[in-house]
Amino acid sequence: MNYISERTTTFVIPRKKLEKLRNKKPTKEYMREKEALKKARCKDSEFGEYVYNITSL
Amino acid sequence: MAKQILIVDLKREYLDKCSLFDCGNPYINGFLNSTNALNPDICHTYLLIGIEDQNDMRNNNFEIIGFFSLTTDVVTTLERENVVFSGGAIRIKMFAIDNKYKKKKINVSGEQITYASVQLKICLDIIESISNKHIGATYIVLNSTEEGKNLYLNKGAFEILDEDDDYKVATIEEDTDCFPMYRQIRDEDYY
Repeated sequence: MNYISERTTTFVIPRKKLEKLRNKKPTKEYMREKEALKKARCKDSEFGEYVYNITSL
Repeated sequence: MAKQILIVDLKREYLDKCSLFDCGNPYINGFLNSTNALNPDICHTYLLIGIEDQNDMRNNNFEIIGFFSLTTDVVTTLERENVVFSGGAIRIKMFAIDNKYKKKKINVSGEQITYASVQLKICLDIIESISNKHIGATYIVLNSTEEGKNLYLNKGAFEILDEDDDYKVATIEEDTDCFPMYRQIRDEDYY
């Protein structure tokens, strides 16, 4: 599945939009998934920092 | 059935696995199999892989679920008609999931999450870690396709740079759709 466009963009963002970002609160679903991944993280794996225990459905 | 998922840096020795990766887009598949994905002048590429146990990794017995490539960028803003620096950015240059894992969910600590959302959260985590430990940066930017737009909005807390906003777009290929998106690197106030 392709999620990234092949175009290249130079980002010029209005200041008010950048200021709005500072007050943005992530959704509960976003935070729930983030927490779940944090809990699933496997510490002391020989394959590095980003190893997670999961169950296939 | 994968019991663990992990992130590994793309290495030359994994190229035989890369040739089996199919996200449905020849351009992205081609990128993963090209020297560009391995070229540190262009980007750094991470693979999301699934394994049953750690021997799988030792024996090179794994499948690529998805991958993403990161590079640097910059966000500017307009002040009195001058373009001025606003903050350093990390660009998600590539982000793709193999068709086999598209829309499939896994159980992560009791939550059912799609592979795409899992990969995106890990990608954001890595970006935050890079910014905290190695290079200071404020923003994440990317150019989404139509099909990827909702993933970044709903699962990544990104904003779309609207067409009526004052931004400049330089295109490589005219016929591709493009939604420039951005967000702050950190979810919470760092200080």
